[in-house]
Amino acid sequence: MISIDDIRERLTEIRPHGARDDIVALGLVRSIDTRDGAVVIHFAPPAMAPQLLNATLADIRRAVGALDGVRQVEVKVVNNPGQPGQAAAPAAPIPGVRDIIAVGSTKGGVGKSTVAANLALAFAQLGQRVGLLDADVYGPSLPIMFGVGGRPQVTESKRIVPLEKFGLRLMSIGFFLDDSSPVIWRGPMVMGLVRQFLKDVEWGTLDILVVDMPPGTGDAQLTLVQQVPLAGGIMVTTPQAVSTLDVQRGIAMFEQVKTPVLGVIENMSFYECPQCGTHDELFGSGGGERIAHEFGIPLLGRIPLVPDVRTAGDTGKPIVIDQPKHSVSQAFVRIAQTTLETVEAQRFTAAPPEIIG
Amino acid sequence: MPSISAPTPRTIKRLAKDSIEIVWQDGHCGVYPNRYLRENCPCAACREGKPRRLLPVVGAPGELYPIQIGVVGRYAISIQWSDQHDTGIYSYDTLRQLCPCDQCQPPARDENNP
Repeated sequence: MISIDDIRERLTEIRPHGARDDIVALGLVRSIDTRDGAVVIHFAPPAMAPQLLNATLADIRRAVGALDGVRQVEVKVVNNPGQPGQAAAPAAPIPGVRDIIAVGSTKGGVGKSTVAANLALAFAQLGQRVGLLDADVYGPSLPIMFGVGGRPQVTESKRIVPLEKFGLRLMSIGFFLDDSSPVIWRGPMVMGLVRQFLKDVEWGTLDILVVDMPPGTGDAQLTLVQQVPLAGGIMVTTPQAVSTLDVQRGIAMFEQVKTPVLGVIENMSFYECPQCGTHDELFGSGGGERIAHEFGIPLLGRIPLVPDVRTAGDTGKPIVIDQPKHSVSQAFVRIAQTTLETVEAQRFTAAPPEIIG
Repeated sequence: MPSISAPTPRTIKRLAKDSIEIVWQDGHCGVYPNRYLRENCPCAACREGKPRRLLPVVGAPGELYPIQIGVVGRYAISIQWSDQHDTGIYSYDTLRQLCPCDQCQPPARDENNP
């Protein structure tokens, strides 16, 4: 006669690709029932890629099916986290959005918005359904970089419809402002706005929502990390020491709220002469590597200072779209690929708690 | 990144009406009386008041209970209490430190008199 403990024991051998621990230790096995050799397992996976989920389910069936006395194995996938009818969580993930990735910097002028825009397009090139939220309420730059504007429509149920360009769904406070008006926000207004952009925008089904954060570690950042569970944050820096020093603050902020820092992107790493192709390290070198080394955070890539990047952004066609074969565009695609792999690998490590009763 | 691998609750369960049970990912389990949690509310109004400006907690212990518990980002929960106080964000680190079990909060012991 097969016992539940035997089955559970066998399940501890299953560790999904990239997971930190086995499925039992991660708390993903909700229940095990057995009757006359027929086993029913309730499995609560975190949001994950379908191929990975199917592979894990197959592993469970194979492992348990191989036990003596097991005639039949049924794996029922249940919702994680939380089932309908439980207390509504204020930090509920945005329905339909799989992973939210914040692109931040603690200092302005490092090219964060350019990086966010091109990274979003690079995700799309990899077949992901992507949204880009320009949460830089003080200096929205998405309208210029994508050459889009005009007020988004609002549905009858008071949902804001994002604009679309190059296959991305786009939202920015810039859509609601006149070009010349200064953006002066009090803290609570910023928080309200960020909340609205996360919850009241009709994002639809997305694999990735890239959030271009305002520089710094203030209200907008805090709201973001409190309102939704982020898959992770990416810090953008330039190579000089003063910038990398600031990045440490950004990393510390993410750590305080237990949001993984997926990596660092070093922007304006070096100047690539369009005529002769030589490299000149205008801002010194190695800042990103230093951070990566010191904090154990991967350096996702180095983006050179190339006039084409700026021109592309200013004319409403980011370089990944404008010149997909450009070395910079390919660097962005590599970064996007690495980021997706990192997000996938850490998906299991942080299933949110289940609230009961 | 040590703080990210720090304890995270697996389940948070309301027991009867007077306490909350937290089972952590590492298997540790703690039962927090409602009043104890409410009195340790980490929000600014409760922490910075003079001396500690708690909203008056009226009635028997059973009358203070969480109306709603929600997850805040990846690091904390928020509790809306039956006394209408709802601004406290209890980080997992704080909750683990507050764990009232004997293992986490050993009873005061007299060294000369074990």
